[in-house]
Amino acid sequence: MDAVVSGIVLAGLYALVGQGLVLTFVTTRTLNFASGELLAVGGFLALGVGSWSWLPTPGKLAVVVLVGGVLGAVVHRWLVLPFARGEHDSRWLLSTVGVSYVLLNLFTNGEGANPQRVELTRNPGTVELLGVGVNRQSLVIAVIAVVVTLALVAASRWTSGGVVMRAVAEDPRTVALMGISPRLVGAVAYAGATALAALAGVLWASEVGATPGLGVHVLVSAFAVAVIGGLTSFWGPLVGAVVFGVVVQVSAYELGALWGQVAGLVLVIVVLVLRPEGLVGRRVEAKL
Amino acid sequence: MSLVLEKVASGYGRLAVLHGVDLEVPRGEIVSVVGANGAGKSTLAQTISGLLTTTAGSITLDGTPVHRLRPEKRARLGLVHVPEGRRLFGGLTVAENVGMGRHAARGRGGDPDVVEHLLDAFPRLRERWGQRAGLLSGGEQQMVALARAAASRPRYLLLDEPSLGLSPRLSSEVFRLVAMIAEETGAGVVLVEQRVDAALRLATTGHVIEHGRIVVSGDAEELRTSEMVRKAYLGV
Amino acid sequence: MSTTVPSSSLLDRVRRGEAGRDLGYLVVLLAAAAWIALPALSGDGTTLAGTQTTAVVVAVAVAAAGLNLLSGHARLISLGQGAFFAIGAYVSAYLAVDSSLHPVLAIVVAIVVTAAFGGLLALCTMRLRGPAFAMVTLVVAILTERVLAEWAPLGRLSGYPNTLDHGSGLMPPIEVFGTSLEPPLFAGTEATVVVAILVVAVVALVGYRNVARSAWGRSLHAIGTSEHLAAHLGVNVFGRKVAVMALASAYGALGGVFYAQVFAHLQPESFTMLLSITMILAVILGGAGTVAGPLVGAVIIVLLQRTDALTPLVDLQRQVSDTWYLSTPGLIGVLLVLTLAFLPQGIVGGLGELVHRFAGRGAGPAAVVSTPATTPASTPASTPATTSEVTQVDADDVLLAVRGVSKSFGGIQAVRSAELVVRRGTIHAVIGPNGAGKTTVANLVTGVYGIDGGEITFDGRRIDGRRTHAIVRSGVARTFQTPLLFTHASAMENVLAGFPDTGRLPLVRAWVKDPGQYRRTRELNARAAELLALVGLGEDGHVEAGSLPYGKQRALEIARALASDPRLLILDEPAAGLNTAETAELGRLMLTLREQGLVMVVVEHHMDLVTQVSDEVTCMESGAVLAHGTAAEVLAEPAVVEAYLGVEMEETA
Repeated sequence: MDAVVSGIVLAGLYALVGQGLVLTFVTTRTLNFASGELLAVGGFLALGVGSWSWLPTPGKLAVVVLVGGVLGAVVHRWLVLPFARGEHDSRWLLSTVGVSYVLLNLFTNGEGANPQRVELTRNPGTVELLGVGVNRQSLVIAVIAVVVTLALVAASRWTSGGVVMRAVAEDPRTVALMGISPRLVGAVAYAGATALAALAGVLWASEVGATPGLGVHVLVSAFAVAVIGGLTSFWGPLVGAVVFGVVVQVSAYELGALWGQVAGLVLVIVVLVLRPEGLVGRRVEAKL
Repeated sequence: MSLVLEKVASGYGRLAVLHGVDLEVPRGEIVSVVGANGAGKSTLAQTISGLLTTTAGSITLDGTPVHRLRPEKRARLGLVHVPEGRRLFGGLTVAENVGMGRHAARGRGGDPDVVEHLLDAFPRLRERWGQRAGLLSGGEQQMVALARAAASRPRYLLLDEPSLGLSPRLSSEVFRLVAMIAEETGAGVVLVEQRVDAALRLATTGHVIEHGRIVVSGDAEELRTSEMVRKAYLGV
Repeated sequence: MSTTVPSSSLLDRVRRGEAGRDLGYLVVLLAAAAWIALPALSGDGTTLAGTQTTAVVVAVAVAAAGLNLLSGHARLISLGQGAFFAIGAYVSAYLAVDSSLHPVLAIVVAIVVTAAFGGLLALCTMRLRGPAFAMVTLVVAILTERVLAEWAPLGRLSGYPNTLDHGSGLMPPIEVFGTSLEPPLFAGTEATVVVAILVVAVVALVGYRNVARSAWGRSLHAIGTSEHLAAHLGVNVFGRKVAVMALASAYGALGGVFYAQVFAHLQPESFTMLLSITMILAVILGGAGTVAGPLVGAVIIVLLQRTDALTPLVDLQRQVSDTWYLSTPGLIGVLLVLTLAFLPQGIVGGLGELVHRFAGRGAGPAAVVSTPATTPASTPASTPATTSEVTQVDADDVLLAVRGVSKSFGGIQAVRSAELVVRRGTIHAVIGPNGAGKTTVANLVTGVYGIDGGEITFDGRRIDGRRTHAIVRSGVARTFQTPLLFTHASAMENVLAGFPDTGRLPLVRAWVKDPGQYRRTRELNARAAELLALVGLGEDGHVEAGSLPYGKQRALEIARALASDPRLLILDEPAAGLNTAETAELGRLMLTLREQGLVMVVVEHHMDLVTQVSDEVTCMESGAVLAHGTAAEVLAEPAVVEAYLGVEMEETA
């Protein structure tokens, strides 16, 4: 039971990052493989703005999220758009991997590999949940992940921006005929996704400290979660994260932390065999 | 007030399809471009709307050059393209599809919104209002595509084979809708069609396109009854 | 297959050409191997570091070569080749040290296990499209990195083997035939293992090149270009993707085995994610999809990483800022992005392009001078039973029968109880307005989509429900509405891809390249030249397919389809985009082919062509059959005229 609850709570972090992956995937059919490092950048930004005593905490958080958004748009403009010309061009995948190494290396050289304490959104201690002591910070992240998911689902259903997003996902060329720039939609999606990663970075760094490698394992888990849940639905990351989190935590509890991760990979593969489109993804037969 | 093409050339990558097309479409008039499959009709429509790059020549909309603009900019100026195969957003409802069309009309006042009127004239559309567009029949989908275009408050409307895949009876209903949109919005219409007869009945001027060139132009009714057009199509 | 062969002097030239090139490659590899081996065998302490570096180059080159087949040819981007490298290294070491298996056996088992793991992973992920495959390989790479660093039996951060668990930090050298294969670790000892590594590496790289240049390699290229096309060339796309992943994993494991033998000790830090990135960068920088690319790339990257070549760059940055600068991994990242932006074809690919442009002629095995248009000898001389009037159909007479077939996509019924009966010895045209469902019927026949109802039989056997490659292998070939060609390959290469070998050559035979393969290559080259001549491309064999004029691209597609020696050829709008002369030429070609017994279904709008060639015509509209008969009958049908011209029959509307 301990493991189940903590698995569900841990899922929040993965879901938050996974949500960003879905956001860019549905709008541009691309993903940012540097999301993990941008998450770490969020952690360091929190460290940087932490010393601005004139700005209240929500303001600091807003600065981090905003800078994250701008970075996302930059990544889209300079590292994704020029490398995604047409359906068969998947250079974007490697260009974002390349930039992830640049960031990782830059921060390792500049900040060192040791964790640095981030105070910005620290919520120390545990709370009692279903009779289990749960890390307060993880709970905050989980709640935020649920709120973000609900907000995205609601927005995609009921706002005109959400309708545009679903339309872009189906047919970006035709969306342009409606007077909407698919490039702008892509830039906004990248900005949103990276802002989410930066937010996750602040929250996670406040728990474990800011390190250049902060995001590597988070991104890997977010990938797993996105594949399990399906890359085409905003419910995907949340559902995938809960399943993944529980399986990983329960196996870790039974077999040790390392095998928990391996069990996560096995889960990914099992889902791929049974439902390649993900647990909540839709399978469509398209006419060529 | 017209849409003017001068010596427009374009194609796909290294394949040149259009070789210097001249065309003038006055506001409020329907101009049909007919020709056999592969003659360059779709290429023409896509070049005008900007889905394909104009490699030579110019396109002006009421005097403004548009051939260097991205498709979304052209749509904002009122150059609205209903692409071949309708291209509805299948996962969106009919209402949402029509709503997508409204984006192109943002910030452009003065042009009439005729959607409500269309829904009154074609009640079938209103019945389907909340349904997912992908589940509609071909004829219904084409009507939604036209309604979506009307919601963009077009100044010029490019229709690429609206009768595609439809039976003659359904086609004539679609053509009736085209005529209604043209009349009520006052838009200039470029109707690209392979159903020559119906297309030329609707139009005031007709052009026959062959191998990427306009080979015959003239009064639509005269073209319709000429032997030459019939031969281009049926080889008899 | 063809028995009429071109003049023997030409044959000799071709043979000498291919064998000569193969020999040349071998000589280059051997020379490089000798250059590496000589200092290694000196036992001189000053050469140790250099030998280790060159040995790592070899290990990475072998792994990158395998990765190139997967990511360069088949365009399945893997971010996990380093993991397979690590698995090969650790499993071979573990089996030898902990399980006391004979080290050679341990190596073999390690490679087989890694290949099986790769194949299994592919089996589970190959239904995916898009970036999911890359994501899964990345997950595997990161997890492998973690298992190596955290799992006790592998020594965690103490490495494997380590003094605490095994009494020694080094694997014992392999003993074969009384010789001990010593690693390049100690001054005064001849690094004999390097020789063994080089021998195996040369064999592996020869095999790699054989595969890359064989029909098997061509099938990978087809998959990378379009899976739709690959399936229509008779390639079992799913099976082949699994096979190439297994092969790439085996090469990765072999590289890892080399690495283990060179250092006799493994540290998890050597097998991080960066290793996988290094390998994919080697492939791309060198030239994805080229034979020499990954080898060139591996040399450059490993030297950049293991020597101080990048130090000046780092120092330069540190003069500006001593805290914010990039060292080797970051610079590798920059190099990756720059390569993608400015040299996407890689060094070898880029050079090839330059040579191509300036020399103005194609290289490669396909540079065969076209032969005079000999009659294709492929045809069993079944007399075409052409009867002009359409009468009742005799069952034996029918080659293809589509009966009552329906198909819908979403809410649109694309095909509704369609009937299409194609008789032997005939050309059957399918006409109808755009969007009437003609191409969909073609796609249903070749198994691109499953049917919702009805049945399709070919030569008396049900084929609906079978997969595309199986249908193609039973004798159906087709062309596409928009030509699907390997635009960067020569016309000759395109035709070669059409032969059944592309789908059928076993991997082992491609790898070994037995003498029979040389003979087969000669046969195919000759036959391909005949086919090119037949469709009027006799002079264009060496021309890049993408730079051919449109009409010739269509002709090239037909030549490729004919290469499979089909019984039924489906042509999807072959005259679209052709001028009048080209259309007439096409008509003549079709009639020639019919005389040779080929049955054709032609989806066409061009009525001149339809009347010229077709024995029977079926007219479709809105997914259903509207009329059927001879061309004259069908075109006289009022409903057809109505459908085509939109003439309203009831003038009352």
